[in-house]
Amino acid sequence: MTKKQKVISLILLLIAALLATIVAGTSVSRYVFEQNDNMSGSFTTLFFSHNGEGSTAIMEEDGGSYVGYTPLTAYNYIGDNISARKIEYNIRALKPADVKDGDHIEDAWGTVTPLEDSTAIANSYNYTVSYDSTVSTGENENLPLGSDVGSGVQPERASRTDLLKITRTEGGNLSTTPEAFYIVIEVVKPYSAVYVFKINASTSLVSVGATSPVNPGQHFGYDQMEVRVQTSRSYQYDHVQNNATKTITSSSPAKITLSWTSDEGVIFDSGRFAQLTENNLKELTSLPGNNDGWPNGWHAVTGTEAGKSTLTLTLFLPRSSDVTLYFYVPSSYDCKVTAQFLNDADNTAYDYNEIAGLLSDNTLVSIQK
Amino acid sequence: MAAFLKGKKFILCAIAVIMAAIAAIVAVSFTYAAYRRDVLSQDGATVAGAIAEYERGEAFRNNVKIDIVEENGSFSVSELSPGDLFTYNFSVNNFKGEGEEVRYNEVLLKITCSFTFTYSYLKEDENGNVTVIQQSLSAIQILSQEDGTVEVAPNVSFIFGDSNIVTEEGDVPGYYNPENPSEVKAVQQTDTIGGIDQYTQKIGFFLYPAQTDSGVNALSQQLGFNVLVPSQSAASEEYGEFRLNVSIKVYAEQVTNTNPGETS
Repeated sequence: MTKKQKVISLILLLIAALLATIVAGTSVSRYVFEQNDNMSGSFTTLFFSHNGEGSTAIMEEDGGSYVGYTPLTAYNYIGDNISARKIEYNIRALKPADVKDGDHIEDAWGTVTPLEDSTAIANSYNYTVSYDSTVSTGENENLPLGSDVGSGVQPERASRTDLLKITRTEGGNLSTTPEAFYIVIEVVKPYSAVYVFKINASTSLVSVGATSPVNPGQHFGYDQMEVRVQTSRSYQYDHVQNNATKTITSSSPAKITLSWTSDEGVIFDSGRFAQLTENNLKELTSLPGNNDGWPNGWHAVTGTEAGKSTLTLTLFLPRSSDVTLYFYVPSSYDCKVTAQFLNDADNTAYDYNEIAGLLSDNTLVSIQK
Repeated sequence: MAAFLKGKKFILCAIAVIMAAIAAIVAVSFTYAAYRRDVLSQDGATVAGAIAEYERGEAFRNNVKIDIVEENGSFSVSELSPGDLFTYNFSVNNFKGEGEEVRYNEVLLKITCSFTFTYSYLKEDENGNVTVIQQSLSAIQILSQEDGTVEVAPNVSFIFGDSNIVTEEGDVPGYYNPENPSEVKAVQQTDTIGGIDQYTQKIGFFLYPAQTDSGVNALSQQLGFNVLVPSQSAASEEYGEFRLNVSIKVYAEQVTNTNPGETS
C-alpha cells in the first residue's frame, strides 16, 4: 500500500467512525413499555389464625422434667374472611428436621417462614407438646376446625381451644426468667401449610403478656389491646427481704394489680371479661383486707395523678388461672404490673417480684407518642 | 511522516481509531436508552402520549362468577376443583383515568399479550417424601412424534372480543386489526427448561390512537382465557393440594414509521 493510500484509508476510517457515531447518537423517540399481572388459583383460600404467639406456659418441676399447660385457641377466620373448608391441623414443638439452613422452616410448597431467634430454635429441641383436652383423643392427632360449605353458602366462624401439655425434658434447670421456644402448627387440610409461633416457658407463679388481638377491634377510635394473665398450679415461693428468706405458701387467690397511666384514659372492657370468665370472677366493690381473706374477683378504680388519667385494675385470681382482658388504649400509655400473695401462716401479703413477661421496673407495656 | 506510515505503526493507529469509534458508539448508546426512559416518564412533555392500560376483569368458575382477591401486584381466586372450567376476562384500553383526569393514547401501538399457565401439585412417594410437581399447560394438542398419540392435551383457550380464537404453534404472533376479530389467532411457543417443556402463548393486535378526526374513540379491547383445571392423574395426589399460577404480560411498542394520529 502506498503512502497516499494509507492516508486515504485512515481518513475513510475516521469518516466511517464519525458516521457510525452520528447514527447511533440520533435519538429516535419510541414508546416501549410493559405491564404484568399474576394470578394464583387454588382449591380454597385458607384463613387460619391463633392466639399462641407470646403466651407463657408456667412450668413446674416433675421428676427431673418440667411440665406446664397453656391453652391455644385457633380460628378459621382472619378479620372478615372465613375459610370455606374444614381445616385439620396438628400442633408440636419444633424439631431439628423442620429447620432449614438454621434459620427458617418451609412447608410442602416451599413457602418460607423465618425463625429469627436462634436461641429459641435451640431451646425448642428440649420440649415436647401434646394435647390434654377432653375434646381431642390422643397425642398430636389432627384437630378439626370449621366445616366444608357448598358454593354460594356463607361460611361460619369457628374456633376451638385445646390445652397443650408442654414437657421440658432437657436443658438443665428452668428459672423464673422466661425461656422462649417455637411451636409448630401444621395444617394438613384443606392443604398443607405451616404456622410457627414463639412461646415462653417459666417457673414463675404469674405471667403476663400484652399483644394486639388476633382479630382486633376499635372503640370510638381507641385501639384494642389484649392482656393475658396466667397463674401457676400452686402458690409457693421463697420471699427474700433483708437477706432473710421466708417460704410463702398461699391458698388464697393471687393479687395482681395492673396500673395504667395515660393522657386520655384507658378503658377496661369489663363486660367482655365477665362473658369470658362466665361470671366466675365477680366485681368487688372494694379491696378486701388481709384479714378478710381474698375472694376471687376484680376491682377497678379510675383517677388522676400528676395530670394523667389512671386506671388501677386489681385481680384476685385462683391457681391455674388463664384469663384474657381487653383494654381500649389511646396513643400513649403505660402499664405496670405487681403481684402479692397472702401467706397462710401469718395472713400477711408478700410481694412477688418474679412475674414473667415484664420489662424492667415492672413495666408490661409503655407506648409514648 | 514516512516513518509513521510504515506498516506496524499504521496498523496500531488504525486499531486505536476503530476502538475509539466503538467506545463512542457504546457511550452514546447508553445516552439513547436514558433518553427513551425520560420521554416515557414526562407527563408534561410535548411529545405524543402512549397509553395501553391493562385492566383486570371478572373471573368465572364453570360460568358462575367468583370473587377475585386482589393482593400486591397480583390477584387470587379460590374454590377451584380439578375438572373445573376457569375463565378470566381482562381488557387493554387506549385510555387511562376517569372523568377530567382521563388521558388517551395518541400513537399507534403494537400490543403483545403473553401468558404462561403453570399447574402445580404435591406428590408423595413410597418413602413419604413430598415433592412439588409442576406442569406447564398447553393451548394446543401435541402429538407424540413416535406413535402419533396425544402426548399433551390442550387445557387453555383464548378469547378475543366476543370470540374464542384458535392457537397455533409459533413464537411471533400476527398483529391483527381488532376490527376483524375472526382473523385473530394466538401462538404458542415451547421452550425446554431443565428437560421440561414450558409453553408460552401470545396474542398480538394493534391499539389505535383514541383521538381521530371524527372525535375521541375510547377503545377497550376485551380479552380473556379459559383454563380447564387438570383432573387428578394419580391416587397419591391430594384433592386440595394444587395451585394454578397464571402470568400475564402486556407489552406495548410504538409503530415508529407513523406520525402521531396516523393509523398506518
